Amino acid sequence: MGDEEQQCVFCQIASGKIPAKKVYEDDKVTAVLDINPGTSGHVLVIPKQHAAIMPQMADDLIAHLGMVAKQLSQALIRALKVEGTSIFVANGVAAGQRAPHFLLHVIPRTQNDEVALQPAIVKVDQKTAEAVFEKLSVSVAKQFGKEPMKPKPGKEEGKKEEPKTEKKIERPAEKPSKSKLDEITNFLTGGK
Amino acid sequence: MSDCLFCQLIQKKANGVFEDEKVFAMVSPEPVAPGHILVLSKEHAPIIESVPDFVVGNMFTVANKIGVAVFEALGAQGTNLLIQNGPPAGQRHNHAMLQVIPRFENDNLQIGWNPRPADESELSGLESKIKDETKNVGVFEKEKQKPIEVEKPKEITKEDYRVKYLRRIP
Repeated sequence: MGDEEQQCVFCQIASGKIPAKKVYEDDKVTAVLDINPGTSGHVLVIPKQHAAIMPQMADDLIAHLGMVAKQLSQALIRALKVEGTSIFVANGVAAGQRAPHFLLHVIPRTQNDEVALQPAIVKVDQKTAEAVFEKLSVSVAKQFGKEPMKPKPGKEEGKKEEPKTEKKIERPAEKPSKSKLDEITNFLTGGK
Repeated sequence: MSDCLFCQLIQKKANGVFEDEKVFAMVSPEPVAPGHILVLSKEHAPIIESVPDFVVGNMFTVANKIGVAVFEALGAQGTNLLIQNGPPAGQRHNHAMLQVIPRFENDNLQIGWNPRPADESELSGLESKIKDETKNVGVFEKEKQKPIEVEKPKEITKEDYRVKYLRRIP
């Protein structure tokens, strides 16, 4: 266990060194009741392996977290007779992350509770929307090592016939570069 | 399907940024911020509980990769992943989705809650109540393997050339 983990409260909760109200545990995650809940029955799903944000975690752990969250959500709805849940992740301080350890929140919901997790729809002008779509479709495809789903209509029509090079197609799904992750982690930890 | 707006959008591949066999991701037609992305199960499912476990897992790994793309492409300073499960949680459409929301400092998105300290006895009561329902958590539904089709040996009829002439042998 590294220094970071030894000092991390959530690592110690996950491993049981700090007592908590545990509602579920397996080899990869521990789920406990938040002592400062948004609503009664607010559950934190804590991965046992230390990570600050989701992009630092392996795919199989992320999938596991998602499946556990789904089932815990069902359990909360049954146990507390609530009408819904919010399953929520914040990556980064700007997104509302408070702890330096990745947490997944499952929050029981009822009408007129005081949780704000239904942001209002905003108007995005077409020019911005198109520019954002263009950037995202290229960047998302790169993450999966794929070609963008469809070239932007019009502009790239002429280029369509351009033969795709093997190199381009076989580019593996890149892991986010270390420097990028460090930058994000710095957002969380204040650059420690 | 048919009358589900999102099933129709999936079929048209509207605003699509990613798809695989089970999952489709699109830029939201109802954005809460530019670059707001929805990760959807291709098969119609009104709530997340009705999406098979392994597809939910897949949706999360897809959402994570999209989140990294959001950091890189838009220079976002954070991302939220959100499932609004049920109307009190803000679910607006009867097709389950996992949202990826790009975040910036001071973007004024109404996302959060006021944590209030819970007392020990309240937490203990909740713990036992919830634990009663979590006994089956962790048993996940896996994708069914397609049955391997074994070709049945064809019945050999009397007319089959392999046996047809055997009868003539004395």
